[in-house]
Amino acid sequence: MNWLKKNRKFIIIPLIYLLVHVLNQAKILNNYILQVLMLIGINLIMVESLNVLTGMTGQTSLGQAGFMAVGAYVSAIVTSILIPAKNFSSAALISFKIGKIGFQITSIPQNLIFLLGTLAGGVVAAIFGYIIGTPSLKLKGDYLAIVTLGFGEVIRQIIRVTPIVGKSFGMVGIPKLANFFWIYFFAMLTIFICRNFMDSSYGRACMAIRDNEIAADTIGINTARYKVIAFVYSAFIAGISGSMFAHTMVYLHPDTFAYTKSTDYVIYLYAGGVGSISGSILGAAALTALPEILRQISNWRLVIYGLLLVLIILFRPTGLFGGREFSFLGLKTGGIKIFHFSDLWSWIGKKKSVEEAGK
Amino acid sequence: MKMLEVNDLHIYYGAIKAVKGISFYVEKGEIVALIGANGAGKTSTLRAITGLEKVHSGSIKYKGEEITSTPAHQIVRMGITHVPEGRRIFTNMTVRENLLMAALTVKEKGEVNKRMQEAFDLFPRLKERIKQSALTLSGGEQQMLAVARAIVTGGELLLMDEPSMGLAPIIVDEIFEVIQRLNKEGTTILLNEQNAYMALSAANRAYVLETGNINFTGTGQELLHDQRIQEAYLGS
Repeated sequence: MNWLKKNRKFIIIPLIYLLVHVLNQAKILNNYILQVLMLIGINLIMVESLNVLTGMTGQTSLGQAGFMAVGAYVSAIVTSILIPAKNFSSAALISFKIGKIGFQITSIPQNLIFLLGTLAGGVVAAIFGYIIGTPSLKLKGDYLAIVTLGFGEVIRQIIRVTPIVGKSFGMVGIPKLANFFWIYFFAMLTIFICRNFMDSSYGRACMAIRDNEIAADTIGINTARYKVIAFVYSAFIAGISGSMFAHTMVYLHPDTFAYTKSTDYVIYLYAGGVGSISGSILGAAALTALPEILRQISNWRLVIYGLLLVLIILFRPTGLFGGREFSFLGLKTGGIKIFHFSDLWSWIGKKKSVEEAGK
Repeated sequence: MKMLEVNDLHIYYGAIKAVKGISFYVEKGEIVALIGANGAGKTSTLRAITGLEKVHSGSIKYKGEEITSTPAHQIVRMGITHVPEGRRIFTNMTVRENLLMAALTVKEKGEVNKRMQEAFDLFPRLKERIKQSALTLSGGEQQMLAVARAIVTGGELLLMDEPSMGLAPIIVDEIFEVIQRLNKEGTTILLNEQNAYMALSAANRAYVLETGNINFTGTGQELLHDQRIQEAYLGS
């Protein structure tokens, strides 16, 4: 029983996947909702990547969509041009049915190509992260934001004039290799890795830089090195997310990765809770789903969306989940502990999670 | 051999000359104080020693080794620990995490715990607050944490920048007691102070800085009784 309690996340996480799959097969969750869930997963990975850079290391980035674009295009090139996945059989390896619920394991070679593309996308994005991270070491705050903003735009303009990726017409013919399983898998993997990063000496060093760079210097942290590590790491995750995006949408247009997309992620991060993994999950999920939920009231939805953001900023400046974490993450690190409007929190009756964050 | 030797040090901020060619030294086992008013160049000097500030010209030697342009994180590993001005603790972390951060350069786990225990012996108040976020500490406790962090980092030479700044007299006494105790246990200390009386009574030797130059030097007791110092700094 104790073992079950200790390892409950290894049971709960696959169960959630099974639940979604079964509901989808039973036609309770239609494909539109599944698509939204997939988008949430993609955005979650992106927000987590921004959280490593902005939330934990304190380096502002407005060019995250640039890293995502690199990952998306590179992985798309791998799977549709270098090793075209369509040349391999797409027949399912195993498929069986339990009642009306169908299960299948899709073609292994195609999945391998997809993973290879994803890895390539991540690695190339990480290289770009290094290229951007190194010269901007001396920049802080607004200036760094401007550099990263410029980087995102440069990437977009380069894509616009590159013939192999379809110039400004967009890239077509990308195989639809991503499915809910892969996105769910990578989202969970990202959360897991980020949690371990946050709880490691690397993570603490990054947080020390965010809190106080001078003090970090005086206790022997090589601030330059850790900032570059954060950049590379963050870019790698963004590249993975980009690959998921490319193989879900099967069509890429350079304008998808405009700076508005980068600022969207910044908004998700800040609304959810900067520096908190739980916050990134919540921010990505809530703000991706919200416009879809409000779709029926067409023109009013942006008004409500904006209004909600204003309310969050006014009443919870550190984000909905700033300074606290879901207990299942099992984080030992304190994270941000500035509690604004904590009365509201205890009023809702979540006082326990605050105490747990303090331990 | 002198532990720290600073020769003809110049530090410029653009056109402003903050430090104009000062030279001093610290012997092993000493407490040396740099005293002087605001803007005398005390903080710049300490920051230059630990590599946080770019030196315009001059040389800094630690145990005979040139460290003028060594980056900050390597200087810490060589054994110079800096308690920066204004506490500079990591407010988003707990007291324990702050101390763990300071142990980054310590490789053995047992050693970390031993040093942490040492720090708690000196500041029992911190032990009570071990799980508390550093943000919730009072000013005095924050300064204690900053000093405790330096103890955990270890190092043979401890640079302290204004350890008494903004603290109640009773806490200042406590901090200075710890400084003297650390010194007896073998740490060499170089400290900056505006509280000249406190610094001079604790220090073996002191240098008086005025607008980037060293004007007087002598033992702590000598300077404490010097007519000019008394007029300028001690107000009698």
